[in-house]
Amino acid sequence: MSPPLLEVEGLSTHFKTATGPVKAVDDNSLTLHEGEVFGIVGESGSGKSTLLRSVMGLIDDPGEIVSGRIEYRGRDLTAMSDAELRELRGNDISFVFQEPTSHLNPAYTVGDQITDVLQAHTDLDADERWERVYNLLDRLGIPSPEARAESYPHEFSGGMAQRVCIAMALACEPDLLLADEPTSALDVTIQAQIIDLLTELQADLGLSMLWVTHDMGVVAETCDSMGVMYAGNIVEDGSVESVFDDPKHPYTEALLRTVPSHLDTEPRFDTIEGTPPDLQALPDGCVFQERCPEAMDVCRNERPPYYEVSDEAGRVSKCFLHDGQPTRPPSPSAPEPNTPIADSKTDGGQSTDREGDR
Amino acid sequence: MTLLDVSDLSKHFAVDDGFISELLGQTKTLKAVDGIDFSVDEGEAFTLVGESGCGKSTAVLSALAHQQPTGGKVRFNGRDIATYGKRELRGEAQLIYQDQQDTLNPSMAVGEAIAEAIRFHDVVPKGQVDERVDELLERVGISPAEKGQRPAAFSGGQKQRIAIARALAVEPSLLVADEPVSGLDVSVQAQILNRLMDLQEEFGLGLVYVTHNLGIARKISDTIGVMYLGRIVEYGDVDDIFENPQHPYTQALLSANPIPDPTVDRDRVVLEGNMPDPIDTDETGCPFAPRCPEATAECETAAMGLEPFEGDEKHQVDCIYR
Repeated sequence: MSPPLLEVEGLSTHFKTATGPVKAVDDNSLTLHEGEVFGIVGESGSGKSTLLRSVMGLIDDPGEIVSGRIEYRGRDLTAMSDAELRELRGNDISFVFQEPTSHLNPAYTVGDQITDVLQAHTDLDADERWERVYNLLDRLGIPSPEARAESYPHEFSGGMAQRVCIAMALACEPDLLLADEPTSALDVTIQAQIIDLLTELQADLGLSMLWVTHDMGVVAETCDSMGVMYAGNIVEDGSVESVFDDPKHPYTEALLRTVPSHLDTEPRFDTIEGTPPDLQALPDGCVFQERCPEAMDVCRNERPPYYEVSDEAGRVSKCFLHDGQPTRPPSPSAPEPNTPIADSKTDGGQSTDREGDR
Repeated sequence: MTLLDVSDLSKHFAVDDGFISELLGQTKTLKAVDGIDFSVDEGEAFTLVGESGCGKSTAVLSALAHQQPTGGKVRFNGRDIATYGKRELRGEAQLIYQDQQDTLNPSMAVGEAIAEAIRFHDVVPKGQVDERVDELLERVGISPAEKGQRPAAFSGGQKQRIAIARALAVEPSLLVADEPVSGLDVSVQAQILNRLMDLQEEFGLGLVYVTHNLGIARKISDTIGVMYLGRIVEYGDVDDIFENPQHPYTQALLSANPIPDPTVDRDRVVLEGNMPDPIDTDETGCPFAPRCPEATAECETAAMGLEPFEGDEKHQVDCIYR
């Protein structure tokens, strides 16, 4: 397997408040390979957007990345200067957000905004920049691109504005696209258009994506792998097929049952009783213990490590039900120290995989 | 017995294009709801489903005289709804909204908010009000010990439970719920909706539910109306609509809804374009024709209206090819 494009290890992002830190993201690891679409799924407040914003380097005071590494092609993003990050953003990594119109400047035409990006990150001259804008808008399915480039954001519908945002994100041909609920503000028929478009572009351009969503249906249709987040923790990680088919964490199992599907004919909804814990007062042990039907004594005292739960590389669950299986570093009790440039050994899951095979 | 009977209901708005258009007599009309019919029996759950801007919320608000309809007739309990006084109507028909934040008085303890509703509508003798409040809170899963707290002390899901308790406090015969859980997470949604369905069945309440969420519509409804551009384009029993959708819009809507199962590989009908604004739409012709994969020239001029599908009065479709 090729070395990962993005590797997040032991990442914790906390927000300082007068009453103590809010642990929005608490010791998380994930691996994204070249050309892969990785879904981060969870309910609101689970930390999925904070995790994505940490990768983007968009955590502002009072938020702070308190520990962990985020390596993009072997370079640690958390150690980069603002100038280095700016260079990387746009050229290598770009973003799409939930509310397209709130991420476009209302006072400039969309063509001006996209050419700005091109001017900042490429050597193209003005004519070439506009040519690229028209091509992009056309590629994104916006009719009469030359006329539409002169339009202001408010003149676009939600779906069309999101196409503009995607055009802008792809303007400098990035390798990694970070998408935060890119279709959640859209109606279902428009969502279907954008999902199809993103999936097609991803395949054509060989993009890698981190796709944050609360919608299990969207994950099932778009992603290759997924991480399920709960109370600041990715509690389970694996390929989409295996997580849906055989969830290894009680929260994933419960979440999959509660998703309302229009194909489901049972008279009542499955529920998860209770509510997620307060991120300022996380329990000592497992974050899901209070709502977990399987909770044991050990769950109340210790935070579970990532157990490797199948032969599939990177298929892990943070749950003591799998005690006895090999664990993947970094375990929460012993976070890995910052290691410089990645080589094959730091390739998390796979190195221990071999040791663990019986 | 039929509780709510809505026929040919319309709600049109004059579009404010500035005073010059007005002086020139060029006023435009936005037809948010354009001649819809539906009825709800005692104990029946009817859902209006559709995408944003289709007119589903305006439809129920106009039906329940929250907004003045511009056309049509609404009978409630067999009587013209226009003859009801406000207090009398709200004692019989209660509404729950999407945003709980705006419906509970932030400076009033939640128990008091419920007690006020009970006293205002004279539901029980004065001495029993407190007891009634406790009972209602318990029914929706809120500890009566917390009734002295103000809304800010509760989560979104808890506030919606409290709003349900307050709506039920006046012992209505009809409950209207406009996207009551769409701001909430799935695990919280499920708890509230189960509770709502239990209470609806137990009290034999008529329910009018408004949602864009097809998964919720499937579970909560007995009958469904699918709305597009101010009209109901398909109407029928929930299982008929989901298992045998006939209108091309219903078919596209169902096929666009992501299925939480990666092994399902399906052919999606992806509609081109957006739902337009229903401004000055023609009297005739199908409103869905510009986006419809099956549209012909005839669709642009045909007289439209819900017709029984294959003679089935309980499954009606507004499409000339069905």
